[in-house]
Amino acid sequence: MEKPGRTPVTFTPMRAAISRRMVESKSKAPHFYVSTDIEMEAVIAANNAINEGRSGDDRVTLTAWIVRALAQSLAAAPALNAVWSGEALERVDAINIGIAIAIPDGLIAPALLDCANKDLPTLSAELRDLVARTKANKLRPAEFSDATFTLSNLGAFPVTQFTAIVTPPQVAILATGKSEARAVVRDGVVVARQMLTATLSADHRAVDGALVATFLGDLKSRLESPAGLA
Amino acid sequence: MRVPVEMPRLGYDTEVGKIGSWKAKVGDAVTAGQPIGELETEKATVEFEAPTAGTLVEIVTAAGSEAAVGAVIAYIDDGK
Repeated sequence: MEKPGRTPVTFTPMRAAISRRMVESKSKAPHFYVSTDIEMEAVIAANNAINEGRSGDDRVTLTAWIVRALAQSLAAAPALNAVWSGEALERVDAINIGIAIAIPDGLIAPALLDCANKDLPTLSAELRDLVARTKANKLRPAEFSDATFTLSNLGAFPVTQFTAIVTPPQVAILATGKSEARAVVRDGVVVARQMLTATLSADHRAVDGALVATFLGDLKSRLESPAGLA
Repeated sequence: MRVPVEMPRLGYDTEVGKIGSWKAKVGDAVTAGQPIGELETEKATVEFEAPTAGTLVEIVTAAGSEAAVGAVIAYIDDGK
């Protein structure tokens, strides 16, 4: 019996799947959260230089830089590139970064496969292709199943920072907000710098705070001194 | 030789997959990696590919039907 002024919401299979996975994650995986602020001035300058003469779909996105840096940081912190197999934890050699993509009535995080062995322009092109094929329902089984870590980037929205829920069977997810000018202190002086806040949610069964802190410090260094990324 | 096409695993917690449609039909020549059908999941439609080049000689699992992960859903004759 419907109550006046209320509309019952029927769950689509998509919403039911998200609901089941998120309840499973939050009830089984003890989450903890670690954040860092990353100065993006150098990456933005390097990206502008790379995009000189490129147009449209050929342009490299900031997300591609983040994925590139993440792949290198995950290679240095293999404990975060792992999945549960039942009650057992397995580290995975391939770095397959799931990219959270909003689709009608939900979201999906298909994997950008083998990120460690791809250069920046390749990652940028494949990211664009992955988003297009996700929206066109043309994902491949491995992309659907084999992510080893997830990036949720809400930088296209006016979001300063947020925390995400780990995607089972993975053990960590990085949530990034918008890169924006903020007042920071450099050499004792308050100055404006493009800053981005990244928050890692991790499964405390699998990893501890010091490891996550080291990982975030490594990611921050790679993005703040991006010569090794291009 | 008849090469089996197996139902792929779609997500760590799924044990069965559902064939949404076949893009190739019996008798069609296929190339390795060619998308030959679609799987329906709760979250998306996923294309699956021919594991080898050859001729699609038998479809075991019809469109709209489910099969266990790893079960043979079709055969391709690779001509060897």
